[in-house]
Amino acid sequence: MTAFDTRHRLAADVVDAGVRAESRGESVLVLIDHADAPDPALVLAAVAPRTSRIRLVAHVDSSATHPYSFARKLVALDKLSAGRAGWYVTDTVEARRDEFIDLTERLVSSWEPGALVADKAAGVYVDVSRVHPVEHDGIYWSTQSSLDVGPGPQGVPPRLTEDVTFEVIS
Amino acid sequence: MTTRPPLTLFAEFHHSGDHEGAWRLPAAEPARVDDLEYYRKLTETAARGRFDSVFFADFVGYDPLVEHCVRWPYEPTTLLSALASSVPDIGVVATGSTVFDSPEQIARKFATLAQLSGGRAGWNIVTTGAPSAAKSFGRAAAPTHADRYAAAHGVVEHVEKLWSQQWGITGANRPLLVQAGASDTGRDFAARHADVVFTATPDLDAAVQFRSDVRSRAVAVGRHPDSIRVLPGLFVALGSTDREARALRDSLDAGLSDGTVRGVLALYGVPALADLDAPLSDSLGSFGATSGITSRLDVLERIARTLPEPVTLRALVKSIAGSRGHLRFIGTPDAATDLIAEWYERGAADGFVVKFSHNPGGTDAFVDTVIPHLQRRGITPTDYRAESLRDRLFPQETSS
Repeated sequence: MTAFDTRHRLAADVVDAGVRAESRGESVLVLIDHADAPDPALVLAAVAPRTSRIRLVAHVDSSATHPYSFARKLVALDKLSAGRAGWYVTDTVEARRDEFIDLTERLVSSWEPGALVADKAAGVYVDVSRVHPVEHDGIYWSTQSSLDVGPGPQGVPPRLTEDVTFEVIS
Repeated sequence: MTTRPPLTLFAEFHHSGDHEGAWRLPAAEPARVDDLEYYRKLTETAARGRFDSVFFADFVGYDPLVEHCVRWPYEPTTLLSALASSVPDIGVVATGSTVFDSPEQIARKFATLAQLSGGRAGWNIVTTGAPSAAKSFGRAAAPTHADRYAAAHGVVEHVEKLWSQQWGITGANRPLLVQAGASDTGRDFAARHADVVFTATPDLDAAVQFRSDVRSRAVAVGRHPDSIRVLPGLFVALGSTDREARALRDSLDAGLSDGTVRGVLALYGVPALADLDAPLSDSLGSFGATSGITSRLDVLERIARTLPEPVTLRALVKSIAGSRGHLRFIGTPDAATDLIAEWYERGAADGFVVKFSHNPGGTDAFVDTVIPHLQRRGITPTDYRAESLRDRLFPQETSS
């Protein structure tokens, strides 16, 4: 695994480092989520078309992100990478982290796989009986909407549970 | 050879084309809505035609209309990051709302896209009024039109400061600021902040008036009128003959199920149980304008008045399907070229946001049959002359 602390680094340089990581045989790439770092989901999305095997894990600091926004980017990354996306959540407040994880999982799984039927003859694009409402009125966030897109190839992408040490790109 | 700067062309991409019935055409590939390769190919085609930029819109929040037609299948800044990495030269413009993301989050998203693309990024600034978006973020309602515009000024100024001071993005690498809002408040907002203004002006005189007004407002706040470019939307359905183009339009309209018709009307606040085939005896305003898209209802009313009596809701949707109140062209490449050239020469447009009737196929048709005519007339460029999107649109600009 290679985990980059990308604070104050140019996004294009991080992409190059990510591509090199795959060439070196690394199997997982994690990019930090920080106010001074390029948006990790976007940088990973740029790494995706230039790689084929390395897993692309977006770190998210749940103190600074709404799960709805994150869930949209996570499934986008999963689709763009043909099922190589992952996520890694940290927060100084454990209860907030747990709520973020729970809500993100519920949003990403709000569309059953196969809900998108694209039946031209019948004029049915999505079988909405297979889209389930998400009602959440939590301590930190609320939502009253399913996700607005279906999941990617992995459904709920795997979440990294081990501790990650971010290192500056050498 | 004209001495005016060339037209600015943006390629707006909805997955299967702008027409709500397009996904049901035999050649459409709606199951490939998640496929990066699909979008990459479209983007490469647009780049072949020397479009200045691609544009991906966005609406946040689950929309039940997705039962009947393709909605917004991708968070656009993530998709565009992958596209910028795969396709050189062409600009990458995405919609981002001022209402639900913090200025720090907005600034970071677009700064990252600017860095990833080498200065080809643009932010279409929207102030979200849709209830579906509010529900996604757990709010009872979106702010009112007036409130969210008032707040948006501060958001944009804050974002610009962050780009400069925190991200070190200055000069030509700054994301292009795009805005679409035809109301009085929207035009003032554009005059203060926008480099590019999108507009839905379906007739020439209205477009000339709009562009002239926006330029005057820009001057009133101390800007050069040429520092703001006005791009009307242009829906295009092409055929090698008029009959062929109309047949394409008919096959697209045939894809409009009742569910789609009702869904489109719902976006303008028309009640779901309205009789689609009864004559519209009241004005559209009687349905009660939502705060969502205030000025679009006026456009609908104007269109309704141009249709032959009796106007029905179904007929209204058919006339706006795909074009949604924008200028709509159905015909041959020669006639499309003449229309574009006329608008350009009469001062109705600095360029267009081209909305393709259907894809795959619609973008190729435009690039293969219309672009060469425009290039021959010197109205659109044959090459990419500048790396950054800003320099491409404003070649004389040194700093601002």
